Amino acid sequence: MIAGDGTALTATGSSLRTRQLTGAAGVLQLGGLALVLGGSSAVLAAGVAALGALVAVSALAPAALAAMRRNRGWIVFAVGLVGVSWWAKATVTRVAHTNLDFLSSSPPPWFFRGSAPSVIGGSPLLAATVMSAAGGLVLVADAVRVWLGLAPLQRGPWRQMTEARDRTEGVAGRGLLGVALVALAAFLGISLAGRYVTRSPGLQVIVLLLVAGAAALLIGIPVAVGGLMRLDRDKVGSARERERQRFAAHLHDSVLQTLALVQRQAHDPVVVARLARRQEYALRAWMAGEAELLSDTIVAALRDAVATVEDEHGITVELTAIGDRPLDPRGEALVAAAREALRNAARHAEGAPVFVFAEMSAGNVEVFIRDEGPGFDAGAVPPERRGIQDAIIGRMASAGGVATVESFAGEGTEVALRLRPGRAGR
Amino acid sequence: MNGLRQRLVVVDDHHLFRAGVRSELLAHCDVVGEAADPAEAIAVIAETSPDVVLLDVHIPDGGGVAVLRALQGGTIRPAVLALSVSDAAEDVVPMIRAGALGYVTKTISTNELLSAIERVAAGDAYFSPRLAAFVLQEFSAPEPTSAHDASLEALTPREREVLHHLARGYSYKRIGARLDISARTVESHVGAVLRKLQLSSRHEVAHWAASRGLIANDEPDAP
Repeated sequence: MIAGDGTALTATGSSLRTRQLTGAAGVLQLGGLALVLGGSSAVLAAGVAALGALVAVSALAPAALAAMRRNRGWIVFAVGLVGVSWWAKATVTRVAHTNLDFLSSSPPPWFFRGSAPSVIGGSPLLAATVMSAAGGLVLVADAVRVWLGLAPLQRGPWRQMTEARDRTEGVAGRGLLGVALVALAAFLGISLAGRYVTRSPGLQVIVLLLVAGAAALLIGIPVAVGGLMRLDRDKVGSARERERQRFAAHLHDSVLQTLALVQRQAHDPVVVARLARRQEYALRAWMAGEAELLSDTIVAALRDAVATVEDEHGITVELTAIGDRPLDPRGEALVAAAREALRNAARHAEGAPVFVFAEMSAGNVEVFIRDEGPGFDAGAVPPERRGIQDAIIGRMASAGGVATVESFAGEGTEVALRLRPGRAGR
Repeated sequence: MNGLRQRLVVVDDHHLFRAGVRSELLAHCDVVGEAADPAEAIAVIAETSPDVVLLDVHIPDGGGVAVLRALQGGTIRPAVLALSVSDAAEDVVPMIRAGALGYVTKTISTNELLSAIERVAAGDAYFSPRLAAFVLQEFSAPEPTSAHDASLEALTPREREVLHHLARGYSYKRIGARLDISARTVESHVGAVLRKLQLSSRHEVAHWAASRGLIANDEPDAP
């Protein structure tokens, strides 16, 4: 408890101190800038600006390091920024040298080859230009992203870097600040490089292209990344929502209805078991994608037949199938015969298990309906013999198939239904 | 049943199901441990060394197959009976390949479950009609469903016949009578099928090859 409170206090305090130090650094930097522009001693200006830079680094470095640890992307960004600016400076230097040497015999620019004080005096100006340009562009990019709804207000990259989370000014304010910083950078940049650039149209174009390209990248990349991410999120989100609705609709039509029925019939365990079993079949078939993708297959029809007979007779049937086929007229005849065989089994098995095994391969269809009931002697004609003859054997024969019934007293009964490929009925 | 009470461990992430099994089997078996995930299961099995493990196919963190894989390397080798609400061959067959001796669905009656437990406790296979059908399918798939199906040693006609009868719901005794062999011979055919399945599992093949220096090392187990 106490430790936690202490930590919170420290965090607030450090954030406050960071902000004060950052402000002081900014004031020192601006002071250095003013001294340079005011034509006073370059050494004094450089000293003031360097002090500001030191303060800024000491204040911001921990936050920046922490932000980089949190978000590795920043490291890539920073390395890239350093690389690009180094390359830009090298290019500008080379082009400037060639052009200037070619155009005139005047001395080379002071901030490339000049005396030590000029170089030191030029550095804060260059640093201020680059920093205000980068900072301003980041703020503009951030504002654009927030404005387009691509990022939440409080979570921009600049915010993460500086940890200034409790500030409340709006997007417009930050955007304006960014534009102001960019304008300052442009002003400084022109005053810094203008005297050389104006002499060479080629250099002008190159510098303009570099600046415009950097600005476009700084604004465009975060916006583009945010946009792509939102697109992805939307796509995933709407797909998930559609799927959820489909599930909800299905569960409502099936499971919830069954549960309601179960509650109303709770006094009758047989009915409850039957309902549960039927719902189980249906849910399984749906989960396996059969109910929607292949509703017209032999196995689906067999499953229907099993459910029907289970409901009619209050028995339990175990159905297993290998393979499947589309339901054609011959398949329908086979399923009808299987239903009759199941009814027979249910009537005579008296609660003993009933198994249905269907096997389909290369056009062959075989279905076995077996019960472990008392069975009957093939010699003595049982009363249901007639039913078997017409409803099972006759049906299969007219579909071009074969039905065999095998039974021994005390051994149960098995009806085998077979269809061979390419033998149409009649 | 036969005087000797089997010591069971029930592995299932559904608390209600474990409680149900425990109360159902109370009169016939001792449930000496329960677990809800593979790590727990392995610990409980090591601690209690039960005769039989009832192992749900679908448990979090790797499924029942993870438990079977862990047991393969260990010294305690209880008989494992797989059970689940799933009907999918691709869930069940890997359990058998990884060493389960049988598979039943959770809707099985108490008596059937007891006889399955008795049978696997004796080291024999217990093939429900559904499992027999899945295994037939595994051996007869025209195009292999997984990379190593091609390595399945073919079933003999007799083994195929036995499996076919099992799928149709015949008991070992009836199958024996129909095929003119003893129930014990039927059982040994089923055991042979089980061994063919398990030997051809990727894990075992990889180990077999590695032990003969045929391949550098085994790749990670695939289900």
